[in-house]
Order: sequence, then structure tokens, then C-alpha cells
Amino acid sequence: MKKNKALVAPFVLWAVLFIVVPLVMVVWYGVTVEQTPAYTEIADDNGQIVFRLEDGTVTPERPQKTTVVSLENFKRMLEPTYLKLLLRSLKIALITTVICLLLGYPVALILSGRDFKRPGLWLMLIILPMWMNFLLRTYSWMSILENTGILNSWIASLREAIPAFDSWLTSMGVGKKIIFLYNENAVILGMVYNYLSFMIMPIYTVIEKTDHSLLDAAADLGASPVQSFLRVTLPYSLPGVLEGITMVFVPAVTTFVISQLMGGGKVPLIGDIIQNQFGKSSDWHFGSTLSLLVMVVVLAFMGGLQRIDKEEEPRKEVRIL
Amino acid sequence: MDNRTILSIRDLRVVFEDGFTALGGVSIDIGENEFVTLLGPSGCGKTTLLRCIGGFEKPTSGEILYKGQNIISLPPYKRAINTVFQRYALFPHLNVAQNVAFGPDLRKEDKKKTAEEVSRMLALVGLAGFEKRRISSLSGGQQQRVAIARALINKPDVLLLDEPLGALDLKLRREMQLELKRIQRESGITFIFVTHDQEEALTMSDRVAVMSAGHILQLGTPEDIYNEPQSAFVADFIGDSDIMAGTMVRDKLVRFLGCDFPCVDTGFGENAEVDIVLRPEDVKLKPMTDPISGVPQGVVESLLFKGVHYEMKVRVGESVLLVHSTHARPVGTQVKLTVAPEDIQVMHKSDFSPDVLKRHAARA
Repeated sequence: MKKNKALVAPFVLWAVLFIVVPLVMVVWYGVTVEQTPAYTEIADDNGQIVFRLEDGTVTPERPQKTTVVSLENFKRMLEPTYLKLLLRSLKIALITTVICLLLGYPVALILSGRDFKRPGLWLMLIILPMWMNFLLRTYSWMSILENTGILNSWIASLREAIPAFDSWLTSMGVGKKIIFLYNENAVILGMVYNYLSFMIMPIYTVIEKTDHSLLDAAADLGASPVQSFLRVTLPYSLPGVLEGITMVFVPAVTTFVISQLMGGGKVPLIGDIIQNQFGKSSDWHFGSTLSLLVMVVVLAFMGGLQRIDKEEEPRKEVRIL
Repeated sequence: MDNRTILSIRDLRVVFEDGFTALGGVSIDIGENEFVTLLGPSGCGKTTLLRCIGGFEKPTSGEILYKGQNIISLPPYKRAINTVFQRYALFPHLNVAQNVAFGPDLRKEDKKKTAEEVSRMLALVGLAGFEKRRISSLSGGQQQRVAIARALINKPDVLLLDEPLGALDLKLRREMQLELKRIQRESGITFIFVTHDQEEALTMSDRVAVMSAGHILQLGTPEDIYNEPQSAFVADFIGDSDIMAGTMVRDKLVRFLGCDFPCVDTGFGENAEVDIVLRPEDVKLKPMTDPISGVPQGVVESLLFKGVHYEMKVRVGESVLLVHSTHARPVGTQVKLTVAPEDIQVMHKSDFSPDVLKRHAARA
């Protein structure tokens, strides 16, 4: 046993260094603010510049910024502006997750089918784009969707070729250039594209591992293919579904790159605001407070998921991150 | 077997995609309330035949008539036949009662009636009070009983059992063999049982079909199969046996081990090449002082105590014979061997002689 404990040490060190310390720092920044006491510069009797504080005391030293514990940022966080952003983030993440589930589950199901030839190749094709740089992938979507982009030029040439199509679009109130980018839908599209494989993989892994004899047994007992799916495959794949939901929802709530690129800054999410605090606004304290808020929301969400998982079968923990 | 035929299999062939013939034209009629065992080594096609009946394997050609109707094109869930799978295939996300109630629930039967029926079935298989238990908390034998209850509750006319006792230890196997036989008698259901264990087949069955290389070699009562094997393969597979080449000199006289033996077989012609099968308990050892003459002589090479009897290996020239006897002869003893005429099994040399089958088994 003692030996085993020694083997754990590197991990403990790693965990402290990269999980505990940053977390403590975020909490510390979150519950503190920087303050500089208000003062006025005056000249004293000797013509020296001194500083008079609000309470009337006079000091020769220029008052310094101090870090004080304060819940000020928590009050600020609850302002409607930020809550609205959080709600929009949750909404977009939720829609993304649902679309990923609706698209990903059938794909996983088909790939794990007993008679499906070469599922490995298809999985590879699904994962392959994910090996490219994330920004690159998102930029290519932008070049497809932008006003002078590929999609618009295709539609334009279709309109020229088929007058009926053109007049139909015009009658529907569609302008010459269709604006695909810089709205919520574009952000959702970007998220679905980037996170879909994180939904497919865990579901595929679970269904693929399911014992095919269970499906035989269900059929043997009189279950039609649909009933077999509902009563065996679906409950079986639930852990994979929950994992997929986590893998998509959590990054979708916190992302800022996709909303900046696909949303063009018009659809700011909570992640954008947090990023802003560490960037332009350089208010690490408020940024940390907002991070804590997101963290609590994500934890609550995962707690809920874990409860579903537990009801189904007491098995593994839902992974954090 | 005067029972009405419930299942009639006609010239069933299964050829796999890679060209391997799993079933090479199998025909068998199975009666109501009959316990039929498909017996054979692995790769002989017995499980494939069972999967065809259950609907999990599509035969290349042939017919499966169930109560006179060809059911080849029916999917498994439309067949009134249930299966107990080799590894039970219980649903681990459901408890014992939910597993057993799977069939009735699908048919949307009354919940209360189903619950009562589940309890009755669990009592039948000796698991009364196990309703709420998780599958993972059950032993192998208990899971097997749940699988049987889950199949029986649907009141099938035919129950297919695919080596259901394979994973159990010997004592449990013996118990379950008797248990299954009892359940089959009490429920009046036709059982088609697949196994590679000849003892199991002989103990439980009304009839045994010995299969090899995708064919049924012999179909008959356990006594027939044991006492009158029609081929060297069947003799070799069922129980211990001494198989050797011989010559049918003329009717009722056969030569093997260098000696002529009177026998009861006729109709092989003169000087025909045949296979000879002797059961080890039918070979009698006599001391060299015995006055009998014209019989093979040998030397005891090994002696093992087996409880009920001694098992000896006796060398006669090039051959080594297995002999069972209640009387031990020390290693090195010279003996004379005798066999009663009716204990000599004479068989035509067939396609299914042991070396041909071994090659097929290696391919499978």
C-alpha cells in the first residue's frame, strides 16, 4: 500500500499545480477588488507635494492601490446585462447540444450497426476535420457563409440560371445577398460543426460495446426493431448520451472564439465578456467572478446529469472537463 | 414418437459468405413435447441450425415448417419460438422480474397478471423471491434459470437452448440437467437443446441428433445412439470407444487385430473393408492360462482407478485398446482379449470416418 501511495505523488503534485492553485487563484480574484483611496494632491507649507485623503489625513506618500476582499463584483455580476448574457449562452449551448444529439445519435447508431461495413473508416472521416486547427475550420465556414461567400455566389448563379427560382426567392422577400453570418444561427452552426464529433464518439463507443446477443434476445422475445431500440439500445446508450451532452454543452457554454468569429461580435456570450475582462478591460477580478458564476452553472448542470445517470445505473462519475 | 410433428426441417443449407458450408442439407422432424438434442463438436453446425430455427440466421436454401407453415422469411420476433442463449443475454439494466416480464410487457399484457405470472415462473425455476434482484448480483446458475423463465413465460411451443449449461460447474450442470428435464415434462414444451457434451445429451433427450460437418449423421434415442452407432464418428463421439479398421470376411465373421471374430452382422459382402467399434466395457480380459484360443493377446500398458471401474490400456501389436473392467490387471500383465459377438459394431467405411472429420473441424 505504501508503495502505491508513492506512485500517486506525481499526480497529486500535478493536480495541485494545475487544478488546485489556479482554482484558488480564481476564487481569490473573484472575491477581491483593487481599490485606490480617493485623495487630492496639495502642497504643504514647505512647498512639498503631499496627499490628503478623504478623511482629512495628510500623507507624504502617494496612496497605493490595495487589494481588498469585497463582494462588489458579485453584485455587479447580478446586473441584468450579465445575466442576460449568461442566459443567451445557456440557450445557445442548449440548442447546440440538442442539435448535436439529434444529428449525432443516428450517425453513432448507423456506424455501430452489426452489418455496417468498415465503421473505422467512417469514424476517421468524421474525426479527420477535427485534426485541423479550430480557427481554420471556423474561418472556412465564414468564407462559405459571408455575403460575398461561396454559398451566396452559388445561389446567385442558380438565380440567373433558373428565373422561376429567382422570382420565388424574391416573392419570399429574400434579398440579392443573403446574410448568413453574424447572428445567433451562425454561432449555433459553428458550435454544432465543431462539437458534433464529441457527441458521436461517446455514443458510438457505448452502442458498439453493447452485446449483440441482447438485441437477439429482445427480438426473440417478440420485440420489433423499433421496440428493441427503445427498450434495449436506448437505455444502454444513455451513459454515452450523457457523456456526449457534457462534452458538447460545457465547451459550448464557455466558448468565445466561435461567437466572435461567426457572430462578428453581434452575439456576445458570457465567454466573450470573461475574455474581455482578462483582455481589453483587464479587470481580472470581475473576470474571475464571472468565471465562478459559469463554473457554478456548469457544476449544477452536470450534477443534474449525474442524477439521471445514477437513476439508470450506479456506475461511473461524470467526468469534469 | 407418435407425437404430431411441430417442426419440420427440410434440406436446410447454410453457406457463409466466405464459402464455408455450415449446414449441408439437414432434414429433421421434431414432435410436440419432444426433447431433441443436437450433439456435435464445435463447428459441426448445431448452433447454426438452432439460429436458423430461431430466425437469427438466414438459410441459403431449404424449408423450416412450423405447424406446416414455412417460417423461413419470418423475423425472429414474429416466431412463436423462444431461445435460451448461450451466455443468457439477460438485460443488465433490468432486474430479474423486469427481465422475465420483457415478453409480456411487449405484448402489453395486464401488469398485475404479468407480475403473478413472473412469480410463478420464478418459482418454477427455483428462484422464488428473486424478483427485485439485479442481474449482476446473480450467480451463473441463477442467471441461467432467469433466462429460462424469461423464455418460458411466453408459453412458446418450441424452446431452443443453445448450450445453456456450458458455463456451469459440474455439480450445477447435473442439477440443471434434471431441472430442465422436469421443466420440459411439466410445461409440455418441445425442447431443442444444443450441446457438445455427450453425457448431457444421453441423460436428457428423447432423441439425439449427432451432427458433424454440417450434417446429421445419426438420429435416434440415446440407447440407439450409444449401442448402435452407425458410423465410426458417432461411436467415437458418444462415450469411450475403440475404433479400428477391420475386414468383413463373410457374413457373421469379421477379422480385426489379426484374429477372426464371430459377429452378428450380415450383408457387407465378402472381404469388405469396414470400421470396427468396441465399447471399452465390452472388451473382456482373460489370463494367459485361460484355454481359449484364436483370440488376440496383449500387454497391459497402463492402469487407472476410475471409481466404478479400472481403465486399462492394452497393447495388441500396433493397436492400443481402451478397456474398462472392475478387475485390475497390473501393468505388464499378458492377457487374452475376448469380445461377445453382439458387442462388435461393424460399420461401412464412410465419408465421415474420423480423419476426414478432423480435417473439417480444423477448417471450422
